Amino acid sequence: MGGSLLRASLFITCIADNFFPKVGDSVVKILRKNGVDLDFPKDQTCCGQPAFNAGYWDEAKDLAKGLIRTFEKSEYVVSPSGSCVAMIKHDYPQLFAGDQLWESRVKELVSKTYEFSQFLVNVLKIEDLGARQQVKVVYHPSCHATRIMEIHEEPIKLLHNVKELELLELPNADQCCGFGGTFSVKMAAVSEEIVEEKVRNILESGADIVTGTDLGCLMNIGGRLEHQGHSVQAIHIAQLLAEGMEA
Amino acid sequence: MITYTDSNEEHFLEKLASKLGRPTPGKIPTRHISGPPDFWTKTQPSQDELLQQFIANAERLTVKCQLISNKNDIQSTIGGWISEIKAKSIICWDSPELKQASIPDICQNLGLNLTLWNHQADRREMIRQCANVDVGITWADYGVANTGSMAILSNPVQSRAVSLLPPVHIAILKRETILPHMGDIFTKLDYTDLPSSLTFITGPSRTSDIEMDLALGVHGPAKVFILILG
Amino acid sequence: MTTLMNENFKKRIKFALHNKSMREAIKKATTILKNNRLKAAEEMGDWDEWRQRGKDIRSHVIANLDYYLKQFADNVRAKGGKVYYAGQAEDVIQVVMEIVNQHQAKTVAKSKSMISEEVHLNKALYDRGIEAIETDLAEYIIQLAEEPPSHIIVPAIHKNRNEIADLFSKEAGKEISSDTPSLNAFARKTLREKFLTADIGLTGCNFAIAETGSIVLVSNEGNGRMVSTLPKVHIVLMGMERIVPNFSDLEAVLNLLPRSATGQKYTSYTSIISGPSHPGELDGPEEMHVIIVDNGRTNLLGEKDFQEALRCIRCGACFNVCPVYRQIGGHAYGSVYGGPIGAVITPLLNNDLKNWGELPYASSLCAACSEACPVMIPLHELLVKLRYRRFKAGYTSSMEHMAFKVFRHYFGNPRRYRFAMKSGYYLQRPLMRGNHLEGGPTPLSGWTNSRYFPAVAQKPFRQRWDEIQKGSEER
Repeated sequence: MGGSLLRASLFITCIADNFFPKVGDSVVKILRKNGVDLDFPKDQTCCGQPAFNAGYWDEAKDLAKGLIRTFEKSEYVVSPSGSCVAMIKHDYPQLFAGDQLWESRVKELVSKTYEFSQFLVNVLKIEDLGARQQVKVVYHPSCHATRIMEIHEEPIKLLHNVKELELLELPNADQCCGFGGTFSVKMAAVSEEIVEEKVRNILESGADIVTGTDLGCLMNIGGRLEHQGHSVQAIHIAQLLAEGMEA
Repeated sequence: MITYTDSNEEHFLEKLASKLGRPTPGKIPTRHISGPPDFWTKTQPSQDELLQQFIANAERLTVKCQLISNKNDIQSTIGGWISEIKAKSIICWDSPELKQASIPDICQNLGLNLTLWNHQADRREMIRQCANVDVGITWADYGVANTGSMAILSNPVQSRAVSLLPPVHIAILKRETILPHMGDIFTKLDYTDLPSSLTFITGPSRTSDIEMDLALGVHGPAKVFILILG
Repeated sequence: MTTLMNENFKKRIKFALHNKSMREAIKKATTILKNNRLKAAEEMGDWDEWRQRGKDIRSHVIANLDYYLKQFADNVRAKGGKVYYAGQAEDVIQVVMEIVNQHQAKTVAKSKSMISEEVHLNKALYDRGIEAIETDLAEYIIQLAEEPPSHIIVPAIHKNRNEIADLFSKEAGKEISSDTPSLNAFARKTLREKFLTADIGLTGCNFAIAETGSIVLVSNEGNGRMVSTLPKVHIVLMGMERIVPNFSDLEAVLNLLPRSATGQKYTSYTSIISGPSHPGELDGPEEMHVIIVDNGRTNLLGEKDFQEALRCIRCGACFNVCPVYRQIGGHAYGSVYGGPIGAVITPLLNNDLKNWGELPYASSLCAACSEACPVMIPLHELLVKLRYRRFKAGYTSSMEHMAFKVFRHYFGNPRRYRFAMKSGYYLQRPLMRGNHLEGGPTPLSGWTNSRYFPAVAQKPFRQRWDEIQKGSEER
């Protein structure tokens, strides 16, 4: 990258921060190795999606405002979650529509925020991280990542370039895993049936690892896999890639 | 006495206007786009391509098509189909186009028990007869290449029931009336004098209502044959 | 958050989840329909451009619905048809009964109409001694089963062949075998007689053309053609939003509807009916009555967000991709319209977020519905908006609201957030098994009953960041 370092701020998301901090380590490792001058604004918490989706928009707005303030000075904002980024890019504008004070600030944040794999492939133009991992993997295309953020090829390109990694086909891949945030507890029984179907598809693929761009889904799928005593692991794409890179 | 007639139209429409927050527009509302995307009408396939497309699409739906360039081959083609389905009786439109193609004569030559649709007969009786024969034979006014559909316009001679009630439908279609899309047929219509029924028939009557298992002929014809003149 | 779902809805879902044969049937059928749709869309060039057209045409109609309805009605009358406006369900029944009485009719042969389901027409006719016969095979099956449709395109999607054979055998008074040809043959024979003898034919209306006063029926079996051809009287039940301005627009929506519904280019029959039979025509109806129905649709009109749902062309594509519908089927919704579109329009049509307000939660918000919709209704967004509206109307539980207030309190402030997560780390200990949690109170137990929940990390990322920073400085 030479002398012109690209500056970016990491929005780690509350799930990664508290439950899967290794994913954060991985993102840092990958971006720094590729010449990104990374910072981590400490005031960040949650994008507010749980409240927004449940219909508590005032609560969601408060959290959104916090996030907007936190990243006001950032050049780029990068996050290892298609869903949280979709919340920012797609739902914040709705939430603040007609709010003169906040509309432009939202617009500014929207324009500089990227999901991790999109940032790597589309902004940094990096598709090959020089990683090596002898594993059989399926990729679960998370709903918000694919349908709202239109993340399709980016993660696949990154995975394809991992030496010795075998990317298998996931039957019925485009089907939701049943997470859906509060949906998973509000309609727990239905959510369970949906994730069970996802798990069966993963098992059918013969993979050792299911990966993806979103920890909400992976937490759901992984939680079910483990609960049912299956050895397949659910690992975020950043972690999978980082583990295959030299220290 | 019917009470819910035009009298409450005004009230009904006023409610819509008030919900939409404006008075009802006095003239046709302007807009910039209508109909299918622009690219849809751009390509102009040749007559040959249209014919090939039409046949391929119809046959995918189990419709049998036969192109006839010599009028003398009509009888053998229809005769082949008739013996294939072991038909004994047939109902035929009494239309000038079918007569010109000698269809009624051919039916008789083939030894079929022929009924001509007679629009001056008793309605119930005629419909009953239509339901009791093995084959209905009609003209088709247009073909749609991209879907393998045929379009039939109703009029006193061109009965709707003949293409619907018998278990087999044979249609005669002129090659040059095969047009690329449904919309091309729409442009041939006189909107001030539309037929009471314009039906596009795309393959046989079908259903997948039982375990998604495809079955043909649940109400309408199970078999469709199209003889293309040209 | 203890009162998560209304008991009835919960019960219906539980009931549905236990119905293995129904769930298997639905999974099989919706998967086929979905794949067919994708294939059919592929050959149309830029499918999204088609969808955009569908959206533009339908939005334009809805925004000018009063104008186009008037134009349509004038043209129906000019062609010798009669037009009625029905504000509510009772009005529809009254008009139908007046026509029935005028003709001293005893039987009404029907092809599929969702309006008829909305107003419970069959029951109303039955109560008044009139026989209503559903002639669509699937509708016939569920009429015999005395059940409502569970899918708007494939109404008997939940029934397997054995169940159907039982119903037919009971009706026939003898054993009907469960193979498809036998079942179809029985239906053809039984219903054929009904077509030929019915006094009145009644259909829905897939589209209505304003410019010409025509109505458009699509059907695969041909029953729609039968009931609009053989009886002397044809009644059309038409949702007031079914309009397209002209024939060119019709071509656009007709390329969207069957492809989205079943993956067919066109259904076997597409009939464009313009008034009753012309003089000299022996078949076809002598009278045509078009009943334009509101029944709650005006509740969506002029509502910036929800007016979009009136674009719907009733293709059912959203049912076929919905992971929730896939598991629970149509009956669990308890409404005439199920699936994602049903979850959106039911509370609105009924103007009742109290009793129907829980349907919008029957979604993981995966957006598969919005992606499949041929007229680009942002269904998943409308579901969220309905949740918001329900909360604003005061129908969500105070416990739930409290939970989100607490959420805001802690997650809305960085210091309180750190404190909460630290507390979480200690509080979770009784539930910790290895690196995950088991059991716990509602709503956590909803999750932990079927999945492990990850434990809060001892060292959250923000703490590790400090160490990473220190490490890189030292280096």
